[in-house]
Amino acid sequence: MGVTLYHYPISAPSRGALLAAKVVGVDVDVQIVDLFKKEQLKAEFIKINPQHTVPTLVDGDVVIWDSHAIAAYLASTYAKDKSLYPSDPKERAVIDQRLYFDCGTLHPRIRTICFPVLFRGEDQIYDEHKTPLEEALGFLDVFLEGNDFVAGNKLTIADCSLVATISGIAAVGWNISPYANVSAWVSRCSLAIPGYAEANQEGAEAFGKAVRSKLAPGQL
Amino acid sequence: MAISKINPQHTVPTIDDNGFHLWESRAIMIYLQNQYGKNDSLYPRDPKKRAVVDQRLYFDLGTLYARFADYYYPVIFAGASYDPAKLEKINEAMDIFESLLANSPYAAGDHLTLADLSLVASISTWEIMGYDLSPYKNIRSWYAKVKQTAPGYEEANGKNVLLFKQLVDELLANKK
Repeated sequence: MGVTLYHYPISAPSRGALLAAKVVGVDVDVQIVDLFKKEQLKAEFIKINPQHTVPTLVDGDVVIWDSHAIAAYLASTYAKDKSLYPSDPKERAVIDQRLYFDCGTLHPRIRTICFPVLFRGEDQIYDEHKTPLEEALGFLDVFLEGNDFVAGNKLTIADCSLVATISGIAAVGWNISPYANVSAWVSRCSLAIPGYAEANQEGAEAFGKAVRSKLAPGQL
Repeated sequence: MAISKINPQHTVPTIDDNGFHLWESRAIMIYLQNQYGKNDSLYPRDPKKRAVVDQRLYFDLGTLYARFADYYYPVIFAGASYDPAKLEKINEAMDIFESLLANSPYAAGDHLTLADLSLVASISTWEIMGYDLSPYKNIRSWYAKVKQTAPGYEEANGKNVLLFKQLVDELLANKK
């Protein structure tokens, strides 16, 4: 029995989990759950994951959700390259910090802007939401100072999560060029992660297009 | 020392372990366990069991704690009024947590893990803010169990929750 990933490409966390599968090198059977059609609320999906979120991973008798937990699981279980999520406590701690930064800071600040636009008929971006996102982009730029990747000089699962998040907001049209380290790192990830264009860029662009199509003119 | 020198994100908690600086509470818990833990019961090595603990930790940060913070913090720190739509989001998250505890005495299985320590810090804070736990039978029995079994609970969390409440009361009184 193989590994199944319940996935929706416009979701940044979902793309992050798929990128983790790509860098780990594990084949996943991708099942699309269309959030615009509310397929996540179907009884058979809630039975799998009571929180009814994508991504959700099923591997034999285990069900895992939250993209970051999925990435850590895939790396721990299937990665030949241990540098993707090293067991050394200090090296791992930096990666964990970056994953929690994505979960608790960067992604929510983007979500606060984009979720109401996609699902609640909002067409504005408010200054009170722009400032926190610029601050979070600034933090990421500092984390990358002197480093090729977010947790040091090697690609890790933290890059998968964070680049999925950043590429989405960049595709919306947010100007990330003031964050020179972030811009250069996005390009680096796009070359370093196998299958990046298909697994991430297409979904990020679909997300960007969906958000832009619902925004009033002059919001960015 | 200025915290921004060791943590560019200038958040608490931050630790300094002989020059190794780390922030994000859940990353700190995991580091302390991996570096100093005597056995793996708080954070199992088995990837499948560990993934459940991880999922609960991310659930706390990204959903449960986040929704409470979204409801209470604008009132406490920015003079806003309570938003019933945000309360509804909390209730939805609590329903999920309640269902996760249906067949599991602790947050990630049959014994105490890091997930319980993280979640109890959240739940105890919102309880003291006046959030009504009475509809959540599983959460109440879990909460009682964690208070009893987490070593040093009162010292590390219980009495500090009261300090938080004091601070909030002062902030709200000053705004009136």
